[in-house]
Parts: sequence; C-alpha cells; structure tokens
Amino acid sequence: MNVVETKNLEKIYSDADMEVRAVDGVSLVVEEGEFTAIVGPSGSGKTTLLNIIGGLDAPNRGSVRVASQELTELSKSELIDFRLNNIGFVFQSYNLIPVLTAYENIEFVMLLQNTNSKERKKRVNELLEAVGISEKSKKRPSQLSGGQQQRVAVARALAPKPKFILADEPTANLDSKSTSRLLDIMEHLNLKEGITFLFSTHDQRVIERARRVITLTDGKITEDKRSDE
Amino acid sequence: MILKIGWSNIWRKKSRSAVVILSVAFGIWIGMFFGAFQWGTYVQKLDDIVNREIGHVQIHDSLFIDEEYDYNFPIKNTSQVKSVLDSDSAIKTYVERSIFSAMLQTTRNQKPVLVYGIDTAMEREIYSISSMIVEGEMISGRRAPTLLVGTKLALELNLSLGDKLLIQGGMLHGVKSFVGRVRGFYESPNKLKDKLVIYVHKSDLNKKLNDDFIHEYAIIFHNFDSLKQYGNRLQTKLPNQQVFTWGQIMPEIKNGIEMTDQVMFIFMLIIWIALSLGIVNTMLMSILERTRELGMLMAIGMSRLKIVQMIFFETTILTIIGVPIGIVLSVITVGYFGDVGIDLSVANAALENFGYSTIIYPEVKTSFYYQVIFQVIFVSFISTIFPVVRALRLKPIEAIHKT
Repeated sequence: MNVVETKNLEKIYSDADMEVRAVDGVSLVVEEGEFTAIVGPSGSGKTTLLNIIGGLDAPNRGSVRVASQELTELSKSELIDFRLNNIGFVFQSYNLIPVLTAYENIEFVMLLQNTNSKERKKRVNELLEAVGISEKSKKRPSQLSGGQQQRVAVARALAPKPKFILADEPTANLDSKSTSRLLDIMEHLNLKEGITFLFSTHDQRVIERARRVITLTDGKITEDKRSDE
Repeated sequence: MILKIGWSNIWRKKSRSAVVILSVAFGIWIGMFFGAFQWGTYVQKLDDIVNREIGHVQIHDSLFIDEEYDYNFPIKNTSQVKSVLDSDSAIKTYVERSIFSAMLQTTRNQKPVLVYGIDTAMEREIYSISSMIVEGEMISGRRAPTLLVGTKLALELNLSLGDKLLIQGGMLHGVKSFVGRVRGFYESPNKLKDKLVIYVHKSDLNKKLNDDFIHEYAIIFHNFDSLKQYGNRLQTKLPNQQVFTWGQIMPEIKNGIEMTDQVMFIFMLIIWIALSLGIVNTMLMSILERTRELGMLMAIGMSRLKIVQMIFFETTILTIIGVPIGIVLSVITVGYFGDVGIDLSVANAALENFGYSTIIYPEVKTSFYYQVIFQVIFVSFISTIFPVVRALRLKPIEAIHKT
C-alpha cells in the first residue's frame, strides 16, 4: 500500500529578482513499512519536499497523496486534523513542550485526538518503554539530554498511531552514541511494528541504515536506491 | 493538558505575568478609587445641597421661575399645599420657608442677601442648622429678630455677635425693612451660601414684614430615585403652583455632576487604554517568545480553536489573580479615605466657588464593583484578541525554524 504518492510536484520560491525551484517535478511513491532517507546537499529541497508531504506547505503544481488523501484538496483546518491523525513529526530541534514532562509530551497529542485516559496511559507507557526512557517519564525536556529528548519526540510522533513518521534531520543535533541509539529504536519500530519512516538527512550514519535512499539535487530526484538493489 | 500548558506558561516568566496581574489590579484599584471619589463627591453634594437645603423637590408660586427666581411671589393657598403634602405617604418630611431678597446694611457697608425665614423645628427634620454654628447660638422666635449669618459674609462685613443689622428690600407692595441682631455665625459646606444667606426665624420675619407668606416648600422623599414621578404627581395635585426637582432649581449642580461624570468617563477610558496596551504588549511578548512551540503545536495537529483557548486561558488566569488584588486594594484605600476623607483644601477656592466641600469622603456602591470588574475583564479579553490573531497567523514551517 502506498503511504505517500507525489506526482510532478513543484515548489517555486520567487521574489522580484529571481525564482528558485526548490522542488522540481518530483514524483515519488513511499510504500508502507519503508525506512527511507531523502538525502542531498543543503538547498537541494529535502526539507521543502518533506514539508509538502507533511501538509505543512503547499506545492505550486502537482499532486501529493498521503494515505490516499489528496492534500492539496484539504482546507487549512482539515489539514490540521489530517496531520494530527495521519502523520507523526520529528523535528531537528526536538521541539518538545518545555513545561510538560516526557510522559505528558507524549500524552498531549492523544489528548488532541480525544483518546480516553485508559488508552492514553497504556500507549504512553508502551512508547516510553519502546524508546527506552521509562525511568525519565517524569522529567521535563530541560532535564533530559539531546538524545533522550529526540527519543521522546519519536515517541510523541508515534503516539497518535500515524500512517508514517516524517523526520527532518532527526540526528543533526545528536552525538554518535545518541544517534546510534535513536536509529536502533527507529529501525526496531520499523522492522518489528511496520512503522513507515521518511526522513531527510545528510548524516552518513543515517544513510547507511536506511533501506532506501532518495537523492535530491536542485529539487530533482537524481537517484533512488534501495539497499536490496 | 491545554490548561496545564496555559498555567505553566504563566509562570515561565514571572515578571511578565506580574506585569499583567498588576495592570489588572491597578486598573481595578484606580477605577474603583476614582469611581468611589466621584460617587462620594456626588453623594456629599447631594447631602450638602440637596438633602439639607434645596430638598428633593420644591414647590413655588407659578411665577417664580418665569420671573427669574423672584421671591416677590409667595405661594397662594398654602393650606391646600400643606394638605396635599401631609397626605402624600411618599414624602418623608418637608419644610416651609419665607424668603426675603434684601440689602444688608451696616454702618460701614452693605451687601445683597437672601433672608431665609425658617421654622427651626421643621428644618431640624431635614437638617440641624445648629450643627453648622461655629460661634454664638441658634436663632429663636423673639420680640427682636435674631440672625444667623454665614462666616464668609461676617468676615467681609466685619461683623460681631450682637451687632445690629438693617435689612431692607423691595416687595411687590412696597419697601420693607427690619432690624435684627446677630446671634450666631454658621459655616456650611457651601461657601456660596455662607456669603449670601442669612437665617431668621420665620415668625420673626413675617411679623416684621407684616405678612404671613411662604415662598417655598422644600420636600424630602423616602425614595430619592423616583423624584420625577413624585414631582409629576404633586404637580397634578397642585396645578396652581410649580413643582421643581432639585436639578431644575439648581441646574448648575446637576450640570456639574454630569460634567464630573464625563470627566470620569474620559479618565476611565485613558486607564482602560493603558491597561489594554499593557496586556497587549505582554501577551504579544509571550506569543513571540513561544513562536517555535506554537509552530510545533500547529504542525502536530493542534487546532486553532485550542490555541485560542490556551491563550485566553492564560489571560483569564492572570485576570482572576489580578481582580481580587485590585478589589482588596480598593476596599482598603476606599475604606480608609472614606473614614478620614481626602482633604482638597489646596484647591479650596475653586471647589468653594462650585459649592463643593473641601473634604471628600470616597464611597462605593456595590454595583460599581461589578461594573469595574466587568470592565477590566472585558478590556483584558479584548486586549488578548490581537496577540491571539498574531499567534493564529503564524505559519508552522516558518515558526518551527524560527531561532
């Protein structure tokens, strides 16, 4: 089943003097259960592509279907609702809510979904266990290391049971040990639970672990390589 | 959880929250205090001038106002008037006064005066004139008329107790005069009156002028709020006399009170604008500092409505904390100054010219508390709209990457 399907996607940024094609005719299919990295140099359009797939930005042309839903047809409020129920986000700078504990940060998204309290508690504990920070559940982000914060962010992204996880440079601020631990967790979740991961990165350690690597250059896909090829 | 985030946001920057809380408290306090000051001035004015002197309504001869407050027109058929007044249960009490517009003459000087012939027993029902006496004694019906003179007039004419004064004035049927002896000096809150009015016992005045006339009935009702209705009812029963409310008799007082209301409105408007700007600025700072967080919340699927709820919750909490602080401050200061009064003697001359007391005792109506609290809450919420709009205009992808 296709989780993401884009056709001739274009995103152009323009001002009075110049026009930049950040995404230039990208057609892409990501199937359920993939562990895919989008790579490329800075300015190649990785983040823009991820933002469009995540419903955070709109393309100028082309179509983007996520879980069979054409995102360009949704209104702003429908997009918010769609993101909540279908897409998990992991950001480069973790972006946890500083006033909430690790437990509450994960629970918060389920509250937005109006999940009942019993189910929330069960799921949060499972996720804390899965990302290996159960003992830190009552800590606030400021009391956690960067790696631990990013693991909380992954757990938060998984909490609403999304169709897939979008991670924008998830290891950019992490040291080798934390990166390795995070990748182990993400890979485990992918292989054992079938969760689809799509991340942008130029971290070689991440690229080596990805089973599919899509290379973007100047907004175009210049290489799409699967590890089994 | 949204409430928890809102609550925690409040305490992220304590000094910033303190600014909003204190702004709300200050808004309540200043609103209450100046409202109390205004109401105290109003009540005092009513008490000094209306309750003690003019009465809630007055009855005069039908020519009184037409002839520009001419006291040459005594009320006709006073027995009918008295009968109507005695039978009206809305009336608490009333007094009848004879008024003689005259010139007061001493051996060295002369001054225009209004001689009030009063029945001291009747006057005591609405106000004890004797409590205003600062020197000498109260007037009483005697063979030779005794006079109660205002201290201001006494000072101007250099009068002493026991001085004989010639009072002479023209009436419709000729010039009348009599000699009275100063028995006391009074000082009222209305300095204009102190310069103009001389009290004499009504029976003495009537005896000396060879007449038995009454120029005005000053009436006090049980209920001050229904004066117009009561006045109209009396007018219907007394078609040959004219019934005036205190505002018609002394429009300058009514206008003065209305002008004070307008000044207060402008003053309060300035306070509310300042409060509003304080809240807008502080909440906007709070939003701008949380741009990345708000961007993330929008990205992961927090609806606009929930963001609005979160920000309004923060304002609500800050307002809920600020309101009781403001009320406590108001109760303390209004209570204190309500007892000791606010001495405005530095502005003595100006106030006296308007017939105001120089010591004001602030006083608050309970309804005013509700009014000010409602206004502050309203201003707080209105002021939150702009920061909320700014928050809602954030684009998640830009906000998330904001440094």
